[in-house]
Amino acid sequence: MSDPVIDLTTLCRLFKNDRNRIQEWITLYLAETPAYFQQIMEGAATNDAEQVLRALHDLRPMAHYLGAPHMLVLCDAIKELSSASDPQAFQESIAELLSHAQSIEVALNAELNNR
Amino acid sequence: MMIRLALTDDQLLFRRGMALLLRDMAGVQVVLDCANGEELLAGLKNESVDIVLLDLQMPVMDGVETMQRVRKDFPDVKVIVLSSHDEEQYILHLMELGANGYLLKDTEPDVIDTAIRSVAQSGYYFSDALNKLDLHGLVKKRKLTPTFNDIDPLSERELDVLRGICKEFTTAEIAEKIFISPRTVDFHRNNLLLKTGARNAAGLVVYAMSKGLFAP
Repeated sequence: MSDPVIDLTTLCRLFKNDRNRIQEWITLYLAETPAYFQQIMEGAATNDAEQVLRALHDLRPMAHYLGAPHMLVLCDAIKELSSASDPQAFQESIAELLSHAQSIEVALNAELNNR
Repeated sequence: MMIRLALTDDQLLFRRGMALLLRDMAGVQVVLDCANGEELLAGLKNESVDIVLLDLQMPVMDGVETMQRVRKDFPDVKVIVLSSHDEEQYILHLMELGANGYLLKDTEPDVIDTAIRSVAQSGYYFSDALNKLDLHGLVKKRKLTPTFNDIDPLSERELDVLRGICKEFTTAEIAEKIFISPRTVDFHRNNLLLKTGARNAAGLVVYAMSKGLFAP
């Protein structure tokens, strides 16, 4: 069985199992992060690494608090690849991040609906 | 006493997330919520604030300029920088400019809690990551001005242990030099922390430097 895309115990620990605040945080995440992914997508399309990095910079702490270790790994990988001379790997990592973000969104929506 | 906070960050998600985390902390209240330095400076004119949690990268007025303005116009307000940058030189520069504390944006809530209380009580907070930085230089240049409460005088033995800590000796080394057991060194170290209000060895070094008890 594959690992879950998010580790919900992280949010439970952060908010001391306060379901209302967890729900509030997830709702906030779902409302605010599409703008960052949009920036990343646009930056990737125009090969604007700076734009991608700015959005990642803002996204990274949220991935940490969310309990999304793979998203953190991808953020770090993209940052590293932005200064390497391998544009294809850079683009592939961004595509993987965006796809992973969608899986997280599905998982979070499912979590909201379960409550 | 309630600690009154201002959150300043252009990211709504981070600001709201942080406010949610802080809601749980006893004795802490977020009274200002600002998207940039200009909003903060305007807010500080009308609202009494003890500590500002300040992001660095913001439009309109960034964190560095904001901190300098806060230092000048609101000298009693303390500033904890919240940043994603963990490079030592970066952190040192901010501390030199007058930050009372420095936290990474993915800091655990318990540490944020500790930092807020430490800054409110002692005027500064150093994380473990900062312990190894050039605290001596900061205190010497008077860029760092911690405030300590009146305390019981330190005993001769405590002063010996404090000087050992300042010289970066280990517990075993201090014990050997002043002919006491490592356990007794730990006992004196705990007393030092209690008496000075410092939270760690770095805080003890700052205390010793600021009181003229140790000069590198």
